[in-house]
Amino acid sequence: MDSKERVLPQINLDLCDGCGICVENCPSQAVAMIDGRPVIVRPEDCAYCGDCENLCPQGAIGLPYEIVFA
Amino acid sequence: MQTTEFLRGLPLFQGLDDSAVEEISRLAQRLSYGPGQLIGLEGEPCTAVYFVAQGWVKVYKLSLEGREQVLTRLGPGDSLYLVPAFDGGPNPASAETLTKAVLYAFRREDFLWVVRRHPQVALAVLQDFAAKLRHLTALVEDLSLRTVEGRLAKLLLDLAAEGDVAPRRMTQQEMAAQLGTVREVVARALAELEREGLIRKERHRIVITDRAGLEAKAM
Repeated sequence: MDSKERVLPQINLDLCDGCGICVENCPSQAVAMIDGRPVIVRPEDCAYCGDCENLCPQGAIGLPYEIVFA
Repeated sequence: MQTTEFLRGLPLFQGLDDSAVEEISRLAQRLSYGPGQLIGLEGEPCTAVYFVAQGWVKVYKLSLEGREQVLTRLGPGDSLYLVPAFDGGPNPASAETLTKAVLYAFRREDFLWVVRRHPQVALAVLQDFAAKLRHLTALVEDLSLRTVEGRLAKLLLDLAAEGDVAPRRMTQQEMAAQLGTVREVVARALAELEREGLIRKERHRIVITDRAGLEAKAM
């Protein structure tokens, strides 16, 4: 896998109900609501903190992890 | 890859001569899927047997509440729905692609015809069944006898060991589905493993910093 690739949270729009909790609580304001759906508008600001995943009541956000040995 | 070339590489058809594999290949249908596409549903009649040529597929069961338990992940060369093809029962689990995938499908009756015509295929099917039985026995052991932390430790070690052949990155939700638990429990278990110094989170990477310690946890 490309180590330089910027990996971002995945938002499942089939599960998302547009409640906006992720937008309100993103500590770096990397996600914004566009046409009632969350979009990562500033990917460079996403700290991959997992707050959006933890707070999403629909379980619509997932942070993918690559598992490696040190 | 040509159908014949792919089938010749499968353990099931090794030992057959070229003309037999050629004949069998004419019964196979090549199917292409995007990620997240359903291949078969639990409870539906089994109409086909599949072999994965490219990509990855998860085989899973869903509870009435929608909780998912992943039974296995299939990669190139693995078979799907051999068991219901033989016992005539419904599909025992659902199957969905994790990545883009190419599968070869045989209609159930065509596959049974192949087995009747080539008894050595039946022996290879038994070996496949034996491997599946061992896998499911290990899964029962994991779910009933190991703690979530132990199961997570084992999963992380397995994923790291798969390296470049790993299907993809995994979310906590996907780990939970594989471990028979919920995401919140996985999050807590990951935090505990990190607190113990066995792993370290680096943005989208989980780095195993103490392999021996994690292996001890997985025992």
